[in-house]
Amino acid sequence: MEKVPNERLLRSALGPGLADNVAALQTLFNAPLNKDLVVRRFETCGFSAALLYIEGMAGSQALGEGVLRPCLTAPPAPELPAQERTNHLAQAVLSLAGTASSDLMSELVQALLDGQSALLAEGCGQALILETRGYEKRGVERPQNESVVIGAQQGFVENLRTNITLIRRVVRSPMLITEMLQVGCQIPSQVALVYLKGVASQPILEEVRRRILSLKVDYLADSGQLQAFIEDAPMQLIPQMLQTERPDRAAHCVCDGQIAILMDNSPYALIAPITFFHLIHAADDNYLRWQYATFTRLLRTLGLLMSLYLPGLYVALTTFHRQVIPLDLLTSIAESRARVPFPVLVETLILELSFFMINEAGIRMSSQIGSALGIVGGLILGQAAVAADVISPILIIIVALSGLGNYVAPTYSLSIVVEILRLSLVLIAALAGLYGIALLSFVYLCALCAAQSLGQPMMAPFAPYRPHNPDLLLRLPAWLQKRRLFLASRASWLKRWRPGDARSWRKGDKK
Amino acid sequence: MDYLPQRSAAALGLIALSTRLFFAIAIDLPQLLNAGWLCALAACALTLPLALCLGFLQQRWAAPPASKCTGIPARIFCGALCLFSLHDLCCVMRFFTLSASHTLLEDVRPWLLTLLLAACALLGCLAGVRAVGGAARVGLWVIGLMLAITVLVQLTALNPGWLAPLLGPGLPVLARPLPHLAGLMTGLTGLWLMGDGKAGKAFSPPALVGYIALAAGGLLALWSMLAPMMTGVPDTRLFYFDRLLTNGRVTASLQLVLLLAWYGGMLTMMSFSTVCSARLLTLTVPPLPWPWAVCLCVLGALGATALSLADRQVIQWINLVRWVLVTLPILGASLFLAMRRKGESPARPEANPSPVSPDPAAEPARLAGKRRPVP
Repeated sequence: MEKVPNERLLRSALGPGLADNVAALQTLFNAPLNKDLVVRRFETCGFSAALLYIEGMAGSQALGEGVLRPCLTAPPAPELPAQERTNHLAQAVLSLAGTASSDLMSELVQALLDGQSALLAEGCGQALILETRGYEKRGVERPQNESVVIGAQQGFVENLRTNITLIRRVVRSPMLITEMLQVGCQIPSQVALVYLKGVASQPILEEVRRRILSLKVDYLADSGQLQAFIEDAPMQLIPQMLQTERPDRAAHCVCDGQIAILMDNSPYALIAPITFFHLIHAADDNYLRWQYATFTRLLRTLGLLMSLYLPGLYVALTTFHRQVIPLDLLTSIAESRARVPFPVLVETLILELSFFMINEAGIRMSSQIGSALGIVGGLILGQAAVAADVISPILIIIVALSGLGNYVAPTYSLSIVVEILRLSLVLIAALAGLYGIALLSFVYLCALCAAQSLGQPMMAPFAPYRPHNPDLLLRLPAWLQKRRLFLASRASWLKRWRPGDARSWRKGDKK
Repeated sequence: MDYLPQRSAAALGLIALSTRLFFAIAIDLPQLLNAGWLCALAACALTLPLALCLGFLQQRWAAPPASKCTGIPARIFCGALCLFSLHDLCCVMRFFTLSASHTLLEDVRPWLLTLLLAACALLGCLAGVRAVGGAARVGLWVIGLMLAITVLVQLTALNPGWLAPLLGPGLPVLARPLPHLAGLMTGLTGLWLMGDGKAGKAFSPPALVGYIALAAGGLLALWSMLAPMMTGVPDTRLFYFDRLLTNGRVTASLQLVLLLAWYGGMLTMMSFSTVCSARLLTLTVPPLPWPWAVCLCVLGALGATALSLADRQVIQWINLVRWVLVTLPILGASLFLAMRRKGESPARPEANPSPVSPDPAAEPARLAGKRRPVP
């Protein structure tokens, strides 16, 4: 494996000479070729010092008001030992909230890359790392892909500290732990494990930590890549971790004993371990009244089933099992398909692939020409194709209904899974009709029952059975949900409701 | 080695065994006329001794039963059970593909249907015993819902009067197939061997036999109420198969729901036989890994099915032999363990640990060692 350039220099410690230290840092950052590194030399307290920072990463106000102005106006300290100079600056001169000291080149380099600044002093082998981050970052906005009608309207952003803060604002407990880890041997990235101590299961926590710390990769860009490395079975279609961009949902999962994995520069949190039911639950199920939540959840389940099976059933019934179709409907289908030159399978695949491409184009297309997509999709592919007898109108209804059912999936990963499985069911339906659909469904069900998330079965608490709240497919009233999620620690100090009636105010009414 | 959790075992056993019982009586025993439901109840009653013995063994051992099958006699017994399960698998595969071909897939080659079924068994069961049990739990709800829809739609057509006369063709005719049906139910032993051995309410073999009796007997009774007894009709399996599907009045569209329930039951039966035979094979030949065991069982069954070596009927001559060969050893083992437990003498010293030292002369020395200095 090729070694990092200047590796020996990177592993070295600071010396007492200011010029040597500055020269070493300039070599590591390839200055003067690399113009980003800024070196500001000045005199303070009677000795020479240098402030180094990456342009654009450090905030100019913090640098000016917090570092340079106090240093330049500080009184001289001639009797100060050389080794104590940086300590003196940190304790008596600088007006910044966060300072730390280090004598390692690698730590200084990492700090500079994080947006912090390094303050070096002549004759001192310790440098100060100053909290002066001030790079441009996106503000907290509405979630793009997990919209709700009732509920919080904040979404994660790319900054790790902001994301942790968003969770901390919901879970206001000193037992909320943020454990910082690093992934990436050559270009490290920050990863945060957020969990409630005493609520999250200790074996599961250790397993997550073990998987992340054992990663031997040079660089990871996003939490999606991290997921691929740490999930149980990356070859399986079903995702084994939940990706959410909602802090409230992440906080709710943390309170249930799950672990949120956040990564710098990733606006999604990974939640693990999860069950299959987490993938079909929406964020606002907890905010709606139980009747509305149950209704929408059943609607969502029906939509997903429809999306999965409708095209396959159409192909199977029209190809092999025409006798089970009511006569009127059969006549209508036959009439609509009379002039279509393609077999049902080809016709279905053409329309399905067109639909997938319209979906993908809608994501990639710029907003200026986004409206054209509706014209292309609706008029040209739909109306014109029917008028030209390339496809039958009834198939457009089938594909549109199945596409609509796909859009009710609360998670993007699940909607992609349903699309892929739908295609496979269409193909097997063309081969062996309902028989083939039944066989393939059985295989998928077995695969789903075998899937695990951090060692926990994904079809639990249904199969295998675990004591659970009435909150799987139906969402019964909140006061009936007394149990902590089975994924939490058995000795969890956080209960859903304290013993006794959660609606104890009613006792006052009865008197 | 993964074990079936209790509820998954109960679901798998309920669907697989009640489906087998149902089809055996509805299609292979037309001579029972509309009294087949009584035969189902009687067959379950005949299986109760086996179930009680299995329950007793489950209570006695605090470990999965499979962990006790290490000796040579136990491995021979498992090998015999494995062969029976393989035979079941062949029959189920044959029955499934022929019925699928007859009902809705005349244009598809039978060998393709068999091949697809074998691939399904292989891929599904490679996921493990737990996965199949979990699928059975889901299937219990889905199949139950479909059957409920089928029955509810035809509720007004149910005629309890068609169950009369209650004994149908008479007691001797009802009693004759009972040992064969009880032999079908010995699959319970394979299920028990796959379980985790935790004694509890969810999977108690006697309770499971009761549920199977209710399920199979209830369904048979309902189907009997949908069509009167007919004599002088073709005595062929095909005729009774079609009669089961249509009962003369159901619309073709309702057949879709019933077919899906049918396929679900058959798939569960097939997966039960596959995992059972694979698990028994790993117990007979312990170093054999699970994937190899599943592959060998499925390929063996595929070969036997392709060569028509297995019967088409659900109920076969071998069931009688099976009933004897499975029930007797289990009965014997239970009796042996019960006698052994009863034979433990109550006068043994370790049976009665006395708080008083047996040697009074040693008492002062013992107390001296414990005496603390007075402050």
